[in-house]
Formats: sequence, C-alpha cells, structure tokens
Amino acid sequence: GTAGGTAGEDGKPRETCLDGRRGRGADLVCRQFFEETWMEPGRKKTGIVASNVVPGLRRVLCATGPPRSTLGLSLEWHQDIHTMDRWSKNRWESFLLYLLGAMKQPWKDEDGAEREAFKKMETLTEQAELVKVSRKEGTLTVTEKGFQFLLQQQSEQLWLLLQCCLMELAGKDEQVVTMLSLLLESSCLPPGAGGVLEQKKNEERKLLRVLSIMGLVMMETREDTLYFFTPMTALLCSGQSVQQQGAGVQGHRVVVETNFRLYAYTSSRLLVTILTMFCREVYRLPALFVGELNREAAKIAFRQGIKASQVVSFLRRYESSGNIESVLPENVVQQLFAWEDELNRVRLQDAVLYQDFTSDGALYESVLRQANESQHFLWKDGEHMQVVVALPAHRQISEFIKQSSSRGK
Amino acid sequence: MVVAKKGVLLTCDPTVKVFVMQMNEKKSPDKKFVLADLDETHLFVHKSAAEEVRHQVEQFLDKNTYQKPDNVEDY
Repeated sequence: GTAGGTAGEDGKPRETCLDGRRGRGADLVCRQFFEETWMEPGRKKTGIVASNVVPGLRRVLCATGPPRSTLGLSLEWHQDIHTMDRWSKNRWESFLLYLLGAMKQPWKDEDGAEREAFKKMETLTEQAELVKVSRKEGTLTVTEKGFQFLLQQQSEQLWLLLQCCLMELAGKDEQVVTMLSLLLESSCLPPGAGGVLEQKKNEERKLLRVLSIMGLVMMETREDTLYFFTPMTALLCSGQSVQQQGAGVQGHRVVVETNFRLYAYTSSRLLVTILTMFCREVYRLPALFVGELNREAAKIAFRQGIKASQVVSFLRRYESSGNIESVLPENVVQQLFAWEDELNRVRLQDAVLYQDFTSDGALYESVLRQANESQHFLWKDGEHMQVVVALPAHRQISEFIKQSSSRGK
Repeated sequence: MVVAKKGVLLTCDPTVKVFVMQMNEKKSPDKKFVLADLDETHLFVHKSAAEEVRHQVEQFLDKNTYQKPDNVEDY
C-alpha cells in the first residue's frame, strides 16, 4: 500500500490516507498506530495518527526505503536486486573469460573509461603472476598459478585479487585501512546498498572502480555519481559456506560417471572453458556440456601446472549430499592421480657429483654434513664415498673442499 | 683429490632405469650420456641429454598404455 501524509509543525495529530490495497500486515500496523479509523467512500481508509509516528509508519507501510544503517551512514538504495545480481555474475564471468583469452573485448568500443579499468585489472593480474601479458600482440597467456587460481573457490579468487588491488592502489598504510574498512562494510550491509561517489575519499573511489570490473560494485553509468554493492559482496566474508550447500554451485550441476564421462548442466561459458582445460569436449549444447576425462587432456592440464588434487577438489564442489549420482567416483579420482604420477616417473635435477675422496673419510663426512645443512643434499654412497648435491650448493661446497684440503696440507 | 662433475641426477624406478641404460648402449661412444651409474634408482647423466631422456621415456610409456579410441562416439 502507499501512504501519504502532511507534515506540520504544530505537533497535532496528522491525517494519513491509506490506499485500499494492502495486506494483512499493514492492517495490523494500522490497528496499532491509528487512534481512529474510518472508511472513506471509494475504499480509502483514513486514520488519525500521532505525528511522531508518521515517519516510522510510512517506512513500514511503503517498504521501499532502507532503515538508517546501524553504522550511521546515509545509504542510497538500488531497487532491482535481481538485475543487479545477474549483472554482477555476468561481469565476473566476462572478466575471467577475458583473462582466459576466450573473450576479446568485454568493454564497449566507445567506453574509454571501461577499457582503462580493464587494462588496470590486467596489470594487477600480471603482478599477481596469474597471467603473462605480451605487449606486442596484446594477448594474455595464463600462467601455472593462473590455472590453479581458476580452479579455486570464488571467495578465494576475490580475496587474492583484492590483496593485489590494495597493495597496488594504496600508497600509505592509512589508505589501506580506509580501503579495507570499505570492503568489510560492504559485506556487512544488505545487498543493494550503496552511496554517493563524491562523498568517498580518493583511494576509495579508485578501489570502487576496480571493484566494478569484478562485479562487486555497480556504478550508476549515466552520471557516475552513485555506487551500489552487489549481492556478490556476501562472498567476501562468508567463506565457502554459501557455495557448498548441496544443490550445486549457483545452479550449475556437474556429474562425473564411472566411465569417465562428464556432464555439465550449465550455460556458463566460464565453467565450460574451465572444464575444457582438463577434459576432452564431446558435445557442447546451449545448456549442456558433455566431456570425457581422458589421459591426453589430463596430461595437458598437468603439464600446464594444474595439480590432480585441485581438479578433484574442483569437481567435488559439485557433489550434492542428497544425490548419490553426483558423488565423484573413486576410480576417476585414483586414475587422475595415476596420470599425474606418470609425468613424475622420471625426476631430473641439476646437480653435481663429488667423487674420488680416496682415503679421506673425514673430508667426506664433513662435506656430507655441509650438504645436509644447506638443504641441497640429494644422494650419497658411503661405500664408494660419493655425494650428489644440487647445483645451487656447488660453489659453497667446492670452496669448503678447497679450504679443507689446503688446511690439511 | 676430490673430483666434481656437473650434470643431472635422474631418479626413477628400476624398470625405467633399465630402459635408459639401453638407450645409452645404442648411442655411439662419443654420444653416451650416462656419466655414472649410482644405484638401482639413480643415474647421473649429461645435462644435454636430460630432455631427450624425458621425451623418450614418455613415448615409451605412451606405447605401453592402452588408449580407448577417441573417435568412437556413441549416444
């Protein structure tokens, strides 16, 4: 229902008119607050209310404005949470796809500021060693750390990027504190809350622009004066509990069968791109991706730096407690680890072999002790008096041997 | 007088070690890469041969693993 009232200064009771269409709750409220009510012709219920009650009553009945936040800040309010939620998820996906090289240009051509902000994020991710940027071709290649990053939980990913942001954007310690308090405030507020950009300090404004790339903050594009925190900010402080609640991650389902077939019920480009990192694509439909975990694809993934344990924990996130079909089969897990071990069948390390200690048992023992202390010891043979040490320790040990033999002479 | 040799320490299981030794036998005397036979699971080889050894071992493992044919796509 809607309520309109006239505000006066003399403290006398005000008249408040209520529209006929209201629910039961409003009825109860009316009975509480109205001193007198009567039905007007045309289904308008009118009542007299004490003036000090009018603001609270308006809020309760209208339910469009926020209560004043407990943190004592003045808040702006975004009306449409669902659109905002969709926008922020889309934004996050485009950002990650851009990193993966699967999306060339997430920004519109005419939007210079957007492009700048994306380039800034690129630099940040490069500093975090997640991607390597080739300036000449303008392409991004994902590093080993980057691949591992892609398989992590979204909250971990967000915090890793935010850490880089804070280190990069903040010159002084006080600025870091301001920015951190802005972040923590965002996760405590209800979703859709926001504020006016001008009221924020310089470093907060920079941080907000970066956050808008990741989908955590939505800027009012027309005038760029308002900002709103999206529902994604809940992930900042909640850890993993939101995502591990059974029904799959945010509506996607991934099922792995004992014949190594993988079925992903999703239309998310990002999820499909990540799955193709370690499995072979069989079919790709608008809402379904069918893949197969085979030796070749798994080995390509392992060579790029992804660990089998990460693939397993990534797939396990999609297990749902009520559904026995969604449990990751044991044979698939063991086979993934077996394929990873195949790559480690032969281990090669740069090293130095010390031989011919000839009758100098004491020197052999002391070299052994040196090697152990330097943490570079690799192999020894007491019978033939041979020691193998990793290459970084070579200079130190050869110096030591020269000194000992010259002392002995 | 202690002698220091620079190279690459190769750690593997006995089967692969035998394979690498065979590889070494087949090479001509000036191209032999095994500098020292340390024990059942360790070899000391020349740095230049390291990548070739890794590559050959992978091929050997690939040959001896059954792979389901990929192009049979049913249902």
